[in-house]
Amino acid sequence: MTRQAAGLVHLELAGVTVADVLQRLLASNPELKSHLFDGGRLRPDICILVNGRNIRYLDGEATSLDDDDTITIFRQVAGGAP
Amino acid sequence: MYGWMGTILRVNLSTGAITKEKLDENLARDYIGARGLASKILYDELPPRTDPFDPANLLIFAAGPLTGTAATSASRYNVVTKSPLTGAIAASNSGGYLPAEIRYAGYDMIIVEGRSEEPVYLWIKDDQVEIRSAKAMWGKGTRETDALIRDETDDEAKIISIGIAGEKLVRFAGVINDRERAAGRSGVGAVMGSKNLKAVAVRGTGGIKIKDGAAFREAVLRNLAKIKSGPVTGEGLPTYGTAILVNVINSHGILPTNNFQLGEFAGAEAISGETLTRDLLVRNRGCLACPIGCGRVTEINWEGNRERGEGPEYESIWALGAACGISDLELITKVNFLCNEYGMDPITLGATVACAMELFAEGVLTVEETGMPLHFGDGQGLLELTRKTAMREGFGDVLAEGSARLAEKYGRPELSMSSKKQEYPAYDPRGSQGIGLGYATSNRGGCHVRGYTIGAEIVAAAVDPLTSEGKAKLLIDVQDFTCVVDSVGMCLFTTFSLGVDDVLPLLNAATGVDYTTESLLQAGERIWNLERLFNLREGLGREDDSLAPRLLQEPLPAGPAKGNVVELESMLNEYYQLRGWDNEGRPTGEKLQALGLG
Repeated sequence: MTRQAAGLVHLELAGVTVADVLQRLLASNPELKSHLFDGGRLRPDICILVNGRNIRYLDGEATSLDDDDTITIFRQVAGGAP
Repeated sequence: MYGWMGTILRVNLSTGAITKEKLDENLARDYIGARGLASKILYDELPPRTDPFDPANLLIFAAGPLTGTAATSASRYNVVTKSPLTGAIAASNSGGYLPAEIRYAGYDMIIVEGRSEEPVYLWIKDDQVEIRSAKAMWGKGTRETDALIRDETDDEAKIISIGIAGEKLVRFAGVINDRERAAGRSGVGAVMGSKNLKAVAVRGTGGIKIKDGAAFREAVLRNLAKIKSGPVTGEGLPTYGTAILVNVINSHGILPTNNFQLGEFAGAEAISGETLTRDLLVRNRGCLACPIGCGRVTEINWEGNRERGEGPEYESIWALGAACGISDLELITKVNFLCNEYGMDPITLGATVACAMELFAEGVLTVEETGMPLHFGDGQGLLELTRKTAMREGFGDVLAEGSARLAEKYGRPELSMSSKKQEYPAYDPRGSQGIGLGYATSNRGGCHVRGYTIGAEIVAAAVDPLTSEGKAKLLIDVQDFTCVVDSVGMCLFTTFSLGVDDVLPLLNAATGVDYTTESLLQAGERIWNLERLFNLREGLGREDDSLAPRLLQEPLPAGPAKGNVVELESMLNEYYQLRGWDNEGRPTGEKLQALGLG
C-alpha cells in the first residue's frame, strides 16, 4: 500500500493546486509513481481528499489549496454499490 | 430438489416433538432461502404482538440454496426471529463453517419453537436428532461450551451457542458459531436463552445436489477471478480486514465520536487497521469456500498472559473505541474477545455505554446509579461494565436493556443514538446522506448492512455523500440486492466485486430454476416488502422510520461535513414513492399484488 511504499505518515509540501502537490510528492518520492499513476493519469482507485472532501466533488486535480490544508491520499478499499 | 436440500427440521422444546417437513418449492422459488425464506415462515406462523421471550416466538437458523456449495464465500446463514431489542423482525447473519454443516446434515433450516423446562442443546447428526441436557454447559462461555459439546458428540461437530449474556436475556445477546463467528445484532441470542436452548451441535456427512455442474463450475471460476482481482476483496480486506475503514471514515469526518457528538476522533490512528495489522495481527482467517479471508486472528498481552482470539472488526473497534472516546486498541480487543465469550453484540454494547457516558457527562447519571465514574475515554469503565452487563449485575442490568431503554429511563430519550431501538453503527450520516436514509428505513433498526450506501457514497466516491439527491433510488437498489445475497447464503463482502448478474448463473445452475435478473431482484424486493409487512403488523410505521434528533437537528460541529444534518424528510418521501408505498410507508395494494403478497 501507498503508506508502506512511502514509509511516511505525514509530509509537508508547498503547492497551489492538488496537481502541484502531487508533482512535488513524486519528485521527492519517485517510488510512489506506480502506486498513484497509471500511464500519466491518476489511477481510478486512488482517492484524494482535501480537508476530508473528495476532489471529485471539488475541482479535481485543479483544486486550489490554502495554507494548512490537509490532503489525504488512499487507495480505494471498498467498491461501489453492487 | 436441486440446490435446496428440500427439508426443514422443526423442534418443539415444550413438547419435545421433532419433525421433518418438506420444503415448499414455490415458497423456495419466491423467497429463495436463508433470510428471505425464514422471514416468510416467521410472518406466516408467528401471531402478531407475540412477546419475543414468549415460547411461541420462533427461532430459525436458516441457510441458503448456495450455502455450503463451492460458490465463493457461500458460507452464510441467518438467525431469524422477533427481536427483544426492537420488537421488529430480526435476521442476523453469520458465516464460518456451521451454516454449511446444517446443509450437509440434510436441512435448509432448523425451526425451534416452545421452551424447554431445563437447559438443553440439540444434537443433529444427519437424520438423527436429539434433545440433550445442557446442564453441564449452562453458565459457561461460548468457547468452553463448544469444547464440552464436541467432547460429548463429535469432534467434527460445528456448534452454535449462546454465552452468559443469552442466558441472562441481555436484550442484545448474540448467537455465536464456530467459537468466533457471530449472528450479533438484535438480541437473537436472548431469544435462544429464553427457550433454555444453550446450543445446537451439527454434524453433516451428506452433499448438495447441483443441477448443472458444468455451468456452476464455470460461474464459480469467473466469480473467483473477479474477487481475487478486486481491490477490496483481493487486497484491502485480506490485508487489513474491515478495520481498514477507521482512517478512511475518519478522514471523511464521519467517524462518530463520543456518542455522535463529533465526526473526527483524535485517537483514530491508534485504533486503525494499520495499527492493528502492525501490533496485534497473527494472521488472517476465512470462512468456508472464501478466498477473501477478512477474519483477523489477533493476540494481545493481557495482564501478563498472551490471549488469542478473533477480531476486532471495524464496527467493534468503533463502538468500543471512538464511540466511547477510547483509543486503547489492546483493551478494545480484549473487550471484543469478551463479547464473543459472553455472546453479546459489541456494537450495541459500545453504543449503550457511550450513551451512558453522555448521560453521566450531563449529570443525569451519577456514581450512585452507575457504581463508578463514567467518562468518555475511560477504558477501564467499559471493561468492567462489559462483564456486569453480560451478568446483569448492578448498573449492568440497566445497560443490558440497550441505549433506548436506558436513555428513556433517565428522561433523555434523545441521547440514544438509535432507530427502532437498535443503535447505529460506525458512520455519521450527517456526512453521508444515503446511509441516514438507510438507518431510518432499515427494518431491523440502526444498521449499515441492510443498505450499505457507504460503498458508493464514501469509498468509491461514485456519488457525492453530502447530497440527498438520488439517494432513495441508490438505497433501494442496494437493499433489494442485499436481500438476494443474504437469502442465497453468500457473504455480503462479495458484493464489492460481484453484481446480481454474477449471482444469477450460480443460483440457476445450482437449483435449475430459471431466474432472470429482473425476477431475482424482484424476489429481493418481495423479501424487503414482506419484512415491512411484518413490522407494520407489529405496530411500527412512518414515525419509526426516523433518526435520533441529534442527526436531524444538530449540525456536525467540525470537519469535512461541518454544518450538515440529515435531510431525512425529503429523502423518505421519495423513498416511499419509489418503493410503491403510501405516505405512511405501507405497501399499496398494487405493489403487493405485483409482488404476489396481495
